[in-house]
Amino acid sequence: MRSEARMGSRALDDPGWDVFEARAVDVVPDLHRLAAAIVGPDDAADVVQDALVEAWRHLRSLRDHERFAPWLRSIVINRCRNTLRTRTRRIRTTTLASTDAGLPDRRPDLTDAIALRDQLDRAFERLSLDHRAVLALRYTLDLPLAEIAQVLRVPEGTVKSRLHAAVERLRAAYEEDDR
Amino acid sequence: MNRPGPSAATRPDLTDDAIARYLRARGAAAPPLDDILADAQREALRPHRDVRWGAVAAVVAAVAVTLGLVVGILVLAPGATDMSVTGAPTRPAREVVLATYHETTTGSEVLLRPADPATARPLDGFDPIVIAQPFEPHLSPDGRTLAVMTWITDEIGTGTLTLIDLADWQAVRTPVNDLYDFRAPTWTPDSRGLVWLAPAERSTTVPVGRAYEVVRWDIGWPSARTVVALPDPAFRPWDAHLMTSSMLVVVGQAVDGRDIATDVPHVVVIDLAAGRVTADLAIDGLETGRQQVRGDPEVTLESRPAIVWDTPRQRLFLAAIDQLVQVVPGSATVSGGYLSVDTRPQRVPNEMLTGAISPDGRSLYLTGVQTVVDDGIQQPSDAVGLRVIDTQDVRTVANLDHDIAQLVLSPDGQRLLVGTSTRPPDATQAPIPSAGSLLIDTASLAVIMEDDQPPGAAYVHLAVSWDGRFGYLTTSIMDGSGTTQQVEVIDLVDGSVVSRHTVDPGEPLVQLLVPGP
Repeated sequence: MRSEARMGSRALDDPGWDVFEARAVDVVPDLHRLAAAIVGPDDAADVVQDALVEAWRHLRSLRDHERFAPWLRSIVINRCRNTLRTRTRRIRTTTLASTDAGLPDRRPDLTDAIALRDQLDRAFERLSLDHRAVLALRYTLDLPLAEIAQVLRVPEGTVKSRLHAAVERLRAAYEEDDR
Repeated sequence: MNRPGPSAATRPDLTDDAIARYLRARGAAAPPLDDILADAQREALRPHRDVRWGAVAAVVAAVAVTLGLVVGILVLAPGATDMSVTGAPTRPAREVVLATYHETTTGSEVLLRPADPATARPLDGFDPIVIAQPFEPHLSPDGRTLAVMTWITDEIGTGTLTLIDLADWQAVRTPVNDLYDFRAPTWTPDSRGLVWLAPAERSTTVPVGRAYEVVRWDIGWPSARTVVALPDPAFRPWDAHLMTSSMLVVVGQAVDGRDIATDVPHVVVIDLAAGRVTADLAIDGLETGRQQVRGDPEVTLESRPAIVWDTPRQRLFLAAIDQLVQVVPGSATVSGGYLSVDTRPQRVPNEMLTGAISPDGRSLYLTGVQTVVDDGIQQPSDAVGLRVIDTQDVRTVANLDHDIAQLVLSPDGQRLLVGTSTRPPDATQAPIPSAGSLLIDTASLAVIMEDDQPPGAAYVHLAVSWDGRFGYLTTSIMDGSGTTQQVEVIDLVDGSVVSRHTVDPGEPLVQLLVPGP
């Protein structure tokens, strides 16, 4: 029922929750992938939930309803920024059980693939929000440069240079990990 | 969790395809679509509900559950130490500052307002000062200036140092390139500058694996300047303190790329005027930092000792649950010993401790949380209680078992305001502990006030006023409808409640800033 309820732009002038949800439901899986890529799967649902609430409250400020999806992605990225800022101030704690839940194998004979992914995780955690966002939009959501520019509200040329810099930073952090 | 990656010799090149595969997998978690939409609808339609604060509260609550405590009221202790030598703390121009959360169409911000010290309610007639978050506030020794340091606020990694003149409530903002991963900021005794530690490498993307250096910024200077680099690039500072106007003492430990401790903790003594390290003292025998558990390379535990600065006597203490180490930086001497307390048979060092010292330097009060590992399983954290240690004889003279997990000592040393954290004894999962507070007379160790917190009180933040008249308790109460906060002002003499109110949920409290002793 949700997926078939594609509402026109006129309906969004009346921002009741049902109308908003009907329009947003198709985008939520992409928003979740974007948030999961940037902040990790543990915080992704909270980020998307907060972004939806913020979007609904400010729906009247969206003048071009064709930009609904890019607009939501922008809000998600902004929410990710807040989450990462909060995370930098967290007290470091040790969690023994839950962090292994998503791993296919935690026995001592770990495969190189898992170790490589962990190493990439650590490298990715060192990236700034802007670099995480451009990488996620390009590689996780597979968006074209023009659409990334729309989400980030920067020129396409900036997207290209930022994407290049992000990849180089990721490589540098990956290499740094062994030093 | 960290695992060693493939060695440099065998590690494959990171191709664009590998990055693409990794990022697709990173975002591949199945979305709980119905939950997200249902929760979002519930939040959106709830009047005056601040969703983001809910998320922040959840993070804080998670930390509270893990540690059993959260430091939320920041006691703005004087950054300099000469004042402690010469007499009573200076009366601050504003005795309490409220930091509340505010959401805007483009993000969020924090509003600072002066408050009445007797009620902790905002004073009329002052415009709020807007700052970004996260932030760290530090009061100058003369009590006139509040320095608020915010972390990265733009794309090139520049933080902002905001100086607030508390007398006229005016703010001056200065962008500072060094405000990334800064640690242990402290005012100089003359209230004319700040000293902090920061990575020598200013990269915002690769903050680890770089040596830390001492950075100084003086009012009127155009930029911060490096004083000296710490000698060990692997050293990570925990805390720092100005023992005199020119002697900075830094406590920390060297770690590897996975944050595993590679050395015993060290105390590094720095001559700020000369710009050099004068002593680097190894604290042998003190089990601290992140360690791997024997037999399971995947499990790491972390301990932090209480670091207690005794400035009048020019010394500091590092206190673990069963050890006390005294360091005199001026003479580069280390002494101490084991405390006569029982420890659990299967104890693995996994403690987060805090402490305070009496004005005469004789009694050290130690508390915190401790986690034990039974058969490889980490149990929920327990409050360690309150331990009173005779610093001269290095022995425990009293041990109060009241589930005490945090404390603050009044400036005259006569009252201890402590926070308790109690979990159900039959819980198998890490539950939200039930929080409370006690006021203790230090001479008799009698409880003279036991605060009756409402059901659902998850954690309590504590502070005392600069003159020891008032104690402040901020209690977060979680129930099915969300989180509410209650602020109480306590008379520290008799424990009576001077004022109590509930914080406006539309603009929740982030911190209650109390210039402390």
